[in-house]
Amino acid sequence: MIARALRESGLLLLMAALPATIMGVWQLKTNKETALEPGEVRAREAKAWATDKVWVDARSRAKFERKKVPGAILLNDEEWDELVPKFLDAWAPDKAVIVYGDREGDAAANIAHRLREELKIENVWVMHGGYDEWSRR
Amino acid sequence: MSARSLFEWILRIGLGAVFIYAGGAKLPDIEAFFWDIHHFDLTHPDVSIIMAILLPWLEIFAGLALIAGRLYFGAIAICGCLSAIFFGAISTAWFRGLDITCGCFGREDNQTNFPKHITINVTMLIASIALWWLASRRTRSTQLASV
Repeated sequence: MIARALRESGLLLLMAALPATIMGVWQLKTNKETALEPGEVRAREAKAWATDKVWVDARSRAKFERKKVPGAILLNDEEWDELVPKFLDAWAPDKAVIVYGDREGDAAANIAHRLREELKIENVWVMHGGYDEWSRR
Repeated sequence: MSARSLFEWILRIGLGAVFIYAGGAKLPDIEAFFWDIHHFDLTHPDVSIIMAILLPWLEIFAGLALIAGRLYFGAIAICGCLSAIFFGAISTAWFRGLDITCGCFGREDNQTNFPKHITINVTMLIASIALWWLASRRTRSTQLASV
């Protein structure tokens, strides 16, 4: 019975692989990169920037402590007042600030907005696709 | 139809329908399902891509085979193995305190309700084991009768 189950499982796997392969190829052909919003930068471009940069993690503390971009500083909405001094210690006017959040990017866009409006920092970018995009490449 | 046959029929249709629904719900947004798998932090991104593309179809074919009663032992084995794998993945995610959506039934906006999903997977695993037991018992009886 086990041999029969293995044989039949293999057959089902093959049957599933056919539409999956067609769909995979079709998705590869049609998958276009989504356009960038103003003030956004792609992860691979941000990584390649030669200028000094400060990475800002706009996600929750729990997510930041689990995994982050190396050298990133935590700066989120919930702990803004406590975390801003640490950010300012790492920041300098000649450094670009790259903010990232989750894939949706709402938190990152909000922090980038606050950095521009409240701290009057101009060279602020949001990493498109957030930490997910970083970890994927 | 005996009570045992009726019980087996209900399990078969129920489990098959759940797998078809789960697979079908993932198909419209394979990219979201890829990210759901990726967030478990258990597989390399390349493996996650293959799983995201293959898994929904495997669920659909296993569910259809279960309902149709074709490739029956294979379908039960796949449903059982997938339930066990999902159970393991969700349990470890809960244990590690991950704030994720599991993607089991397509795209979700809120964090996965871990106890609920673990219960669903354990139920599916028990159903698969019960189906296997009933089917193997029937096969043995048929073999004995033909001797």
